[in-house]
Amino acid sequence: MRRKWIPLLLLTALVAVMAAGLALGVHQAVAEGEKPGSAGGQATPSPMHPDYILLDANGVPVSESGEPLSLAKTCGQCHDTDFITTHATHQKAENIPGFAGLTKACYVCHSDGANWKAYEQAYAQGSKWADTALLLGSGVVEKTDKGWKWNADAFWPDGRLKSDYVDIHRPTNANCAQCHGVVHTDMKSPLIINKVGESEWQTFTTGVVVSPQKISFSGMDIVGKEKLTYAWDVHAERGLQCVDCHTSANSPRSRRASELPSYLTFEPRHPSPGEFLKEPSHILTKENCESCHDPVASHKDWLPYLKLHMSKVACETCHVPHLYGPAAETVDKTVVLPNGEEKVVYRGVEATAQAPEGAEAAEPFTVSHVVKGYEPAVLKRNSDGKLAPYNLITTFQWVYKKDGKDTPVSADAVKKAWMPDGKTYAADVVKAFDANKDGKLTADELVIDSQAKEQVIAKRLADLGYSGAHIVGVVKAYPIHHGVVQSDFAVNNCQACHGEDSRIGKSLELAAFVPAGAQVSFKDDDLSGSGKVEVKDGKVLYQPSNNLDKVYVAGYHHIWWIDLIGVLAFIGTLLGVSFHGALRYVAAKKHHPHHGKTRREYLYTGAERFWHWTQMASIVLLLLIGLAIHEPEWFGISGINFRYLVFLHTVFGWILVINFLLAMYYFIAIGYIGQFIPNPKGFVQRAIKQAKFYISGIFKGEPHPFTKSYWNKLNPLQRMAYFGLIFFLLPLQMLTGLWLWAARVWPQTMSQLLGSETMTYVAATHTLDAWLIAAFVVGHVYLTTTGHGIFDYIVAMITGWEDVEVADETDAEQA
Amino acid sequence: MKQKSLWWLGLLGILLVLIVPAVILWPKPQQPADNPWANLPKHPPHVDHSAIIKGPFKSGEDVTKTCLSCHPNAASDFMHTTHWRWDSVKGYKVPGHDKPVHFGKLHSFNNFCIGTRSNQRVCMKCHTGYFWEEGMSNQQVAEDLKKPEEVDCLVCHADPNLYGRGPYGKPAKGVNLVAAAKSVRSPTRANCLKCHAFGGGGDNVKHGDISSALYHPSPDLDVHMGRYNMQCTDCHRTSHHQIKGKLINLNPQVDPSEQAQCTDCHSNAPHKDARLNAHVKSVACQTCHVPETAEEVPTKIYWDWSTAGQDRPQNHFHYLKIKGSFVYVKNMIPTYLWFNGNESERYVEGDPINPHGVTYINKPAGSINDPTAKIFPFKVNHTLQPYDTVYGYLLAPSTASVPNGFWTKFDWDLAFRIAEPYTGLKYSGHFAFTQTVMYWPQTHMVRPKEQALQCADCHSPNGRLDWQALGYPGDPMKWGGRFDDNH
Repeated sequence: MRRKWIPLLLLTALVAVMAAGLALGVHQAVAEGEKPGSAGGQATPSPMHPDYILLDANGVPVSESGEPLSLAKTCGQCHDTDFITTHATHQKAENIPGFAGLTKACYVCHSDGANWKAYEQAYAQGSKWADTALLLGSGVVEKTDKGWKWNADAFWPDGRLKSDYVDIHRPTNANCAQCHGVVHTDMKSPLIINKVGESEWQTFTTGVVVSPQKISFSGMDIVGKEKLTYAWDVHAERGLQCVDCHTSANSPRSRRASELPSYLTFEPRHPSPGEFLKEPSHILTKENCESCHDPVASHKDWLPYLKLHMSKVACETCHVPHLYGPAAETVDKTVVLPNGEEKVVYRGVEATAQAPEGAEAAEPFTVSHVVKGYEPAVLKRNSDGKLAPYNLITTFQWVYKKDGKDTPVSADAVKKAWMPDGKTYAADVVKAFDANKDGKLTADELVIDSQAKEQVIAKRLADLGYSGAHIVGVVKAYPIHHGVVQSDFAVNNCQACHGEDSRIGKSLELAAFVPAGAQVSFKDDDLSGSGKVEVKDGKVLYQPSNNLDKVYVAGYHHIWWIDLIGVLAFIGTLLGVSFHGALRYVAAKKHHPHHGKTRREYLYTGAERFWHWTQMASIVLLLLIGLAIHEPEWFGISGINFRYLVFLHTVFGWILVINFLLAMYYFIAIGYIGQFIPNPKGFVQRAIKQAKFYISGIFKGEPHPFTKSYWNKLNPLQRMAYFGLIFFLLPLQMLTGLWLWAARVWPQTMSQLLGSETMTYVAATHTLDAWLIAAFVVGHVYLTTTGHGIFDYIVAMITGWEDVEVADETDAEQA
Repeated sequence: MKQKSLWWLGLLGILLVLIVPAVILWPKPQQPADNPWANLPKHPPHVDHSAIIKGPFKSGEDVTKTCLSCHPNAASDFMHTTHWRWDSVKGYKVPGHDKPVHFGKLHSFNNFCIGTRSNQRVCMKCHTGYFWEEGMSNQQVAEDLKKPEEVDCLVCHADPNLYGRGPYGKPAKGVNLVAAAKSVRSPTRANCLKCHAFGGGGDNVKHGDISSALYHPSPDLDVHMGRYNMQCTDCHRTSHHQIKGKLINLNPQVDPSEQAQCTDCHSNAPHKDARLNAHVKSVACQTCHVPETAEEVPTKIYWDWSTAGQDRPQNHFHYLKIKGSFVYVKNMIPTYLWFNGNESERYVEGDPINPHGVTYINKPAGSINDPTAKIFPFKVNHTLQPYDTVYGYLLAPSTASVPNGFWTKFDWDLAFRIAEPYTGLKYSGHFAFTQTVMYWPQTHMVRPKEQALQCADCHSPNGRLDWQALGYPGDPMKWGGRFDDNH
């Protein structure tokens, strides 16, 4: 009896041990499987999305059927997948090679670690396993030699995916980064960029890096980074996600601002969350800065000419002053690098002498590279007329004539021309390009810089059927909208634009070389492209044409004819009086000076003299300081000094204005003002008489034609000149000066009152008037020497008393 | 006459027209929002004492007598301070105690070296007097505390390179008292750090935010002391030897006026950015500007007394036979709690321990619902320390005493027995070890703005603040702050 039980017991024990082992194994497997998304990103369990059933194309749970996943069916359980794929901004991307099927690959944007590479391959082959391929590496499905196998442990019995595998979420910056550029969210590890290619599109084209980390914390050797204590992107720093601004068009939080009538600031009616979740538009809005920011509120305290600035300058121009990510400068598709790729030259990334040999090929940038970054070109947009920052990328490529049109030679063909077997360079290519004769071609040797080298490749292309192949360069402009810096580090120095070395009109390097025989052309729909592509010292530069773009920046541009007229008037007067003076000097030797009757007169009261010398001092100082403000570079003035000069100019301007107004009041009050107004009666004859004196009489030693007295100090010509000065030149100068001052002090009020467009004209008038006043001063000073004695007039203005010549005519005759 | 008065009137009119608008509208230079320099105390130049002090001195007391001959009130002022008394002037209300309780190094517990009583040989190195030894009767201590010549002037005022203290705080062997006395001046960082950086038995062991790194800190480690070479007394302002600033550990309730505050110099809205200024209502300055402590010098965060006395390999940072085993951290990310400047719990000698878990030696007070509380950084120290299993309270062993202290004999039982008469806490003969927790506010090592925390350090999925634990429904960047309507 007992013996019978023994085998049974043994069997039971064996089964129990096996079961325990199995259980342990399963547990282990589950534990390992609990790390979904191992293929890259860290999986963040979805905060909201319910566990869902993965369906195949027939609507049967894949855990039952073992068939391929259909995202259209699976996501279609709740979301209208047809609506989504037809309302998607990324539809455009599907036409780009390698991005087909993007709008159907939900996981790529809505979960972490989706296997895009596997999907792309399967999709291109038309495989029904394409959607499933996205999950490769997540632990939900496996691909073995035998085929695809769903992991039963990832599913509940009803076919629902277990929560651990559900990480559906709103696209994060990391999702967008998969295609759009360098994104770095980890605050602790220093950012190091080793490689930027077209798959980091935004960084490749503009140098923008989206990261909350401060540039100074980066692991790269960035020049002067200890002072770059701001984040790569202030919006990333402030916790914004890409989709916060590029948001779904029908999202409940979408602003729909463009549809609003003028009397509304917000549209409160919107789809319910349920409606939205069913049909979420995947058309992403493009918010602009003003969608969130009020530029007036943030600039009104310090930025003069506010509206003018806002209407002419894009926010990014000042708020993205310098980019430190590696942006492409030149893409040279005419050559093939040893690794089979095209040659890309990046802006502001320089290899140092210490760079380890061969590092270049593996990783374009290493920590030994010195990063300087670049200042974008500031170009005028056609669409809104604003100045905005751009990167310019020049692509050199082979073209050949096809149907009479220049058509690019395909990359494959170029590669074949260089490397017939796809791996090694052809012998005649090595012979032509191997500058150091070491039998190897390195990146710096791979430049088509001579006709001979061009011919070698052109001939090889001709052999491949591309006859008449030649090189062209095309410049494309890439606008910069991201990588906005913290406001403290934006351009806030006026001279950055309003100085000799202005950012406006600065040229940008297009290429450090031009392949032999290449013509470089500029193409952009939103830019005038009016600038010039110049070759300087073997480098190609793009020099924007502010002139053709009708860009005028005070302090940087000058209206040439204003200064020309001014200088001519000034020099003309100077020459005129010099000539006149010289003649007088010569004549004084011939003719004995006339000694007519004189009489001592009290001509100028203390008040007049005080007024005159105050006016003299302020006008001379204003002219000199004004000249320094007009042409700061002539005097080596910048920054603080400039502001101080403007302050001084304002102070003396006010002194002049007050002094002038007080004098005018005094002159009018005592009836003295009439002296400065020519008496129309007989004016012409008297003016001719005075003119004759200056033209001939003065040289012959004749006496002055009119007698001066307290109430009749000025001769007819003087009256005319002073009339112009007092009633025209000075008031105009004071008004324009006050205008310029007020526009700076109350920018908002002034631009509302008078419009900011007028500033250019006001400033130009002020300049021209200053030249005319300067010319007047020259003439005026010279004429003080024409008194009875040379310094008589000046002495009179000091003492008040003058020995006045008594004219032949009756004193009664009024000038 | 009439015409003349008209003339004056016109002149006045023109002047008014010109001057009034000019005065009103003249662009005013913007006052900087924050002008901390204006609030710094002005230190009068210190008189060079090298010619005044003559000597010779036989003892520290001799030096003090000389000091008092010119500064007669210095000692009597000083005797009112905790630096001298090692006991609080006033009593504090503590939960579980009806009467106000006094706190001080004299008799309060911590979870480092536990207590000073019967350990005077070592602890008195940092008491500012010359007399205190174990074995003195309470009465004798009280009497000596009234003797002005027992005050040690030199420890704070002499150049620390010329002066040092040995057992029981007596001048160390070899100190030239004349040279030390000639060197007196206003206390420098070196004077303060000599004690305050080495509490708990080593550099930065206790505080976490006060270490020898502050002798010559880099500008990035401490903006005040590093970039501007400020001294402790610039913030811990002193009047009649009363020094501003109190540590909660021995002052369970601190009146804000007694505390050294950032706002003593800085404004309440010191940032250019309004968003940052909005943080000030709920986030202490230290939270962002003291992002990490124990820089350069590690600090102790765990101490296991129970393993002391074993013969195993010794190492300052891991195990010492006299003290047990430890965990130190460097570049410590603090723990963040609501803090209103006071304590909600404070262990008092003789209090029962928590038999079911950890006993809090102290605990900061404040919660999300307390509008005066702010999120504040703390160092947390966990310790396994001895308690009496019969009476259920923490025990303070005699460690440093010779010849029978624990550090000499490694006999716990003996250490408790000889401590008994000094602490007045009965020892049953049965002891075990229990876990205690102590919180240390992190307020020094203030970083410049370039090194302060950034938004994403807290406001991101992996941020350092646990919003739910702090009482928020979620990240207030998205959910709104505690003063918002929707909260």
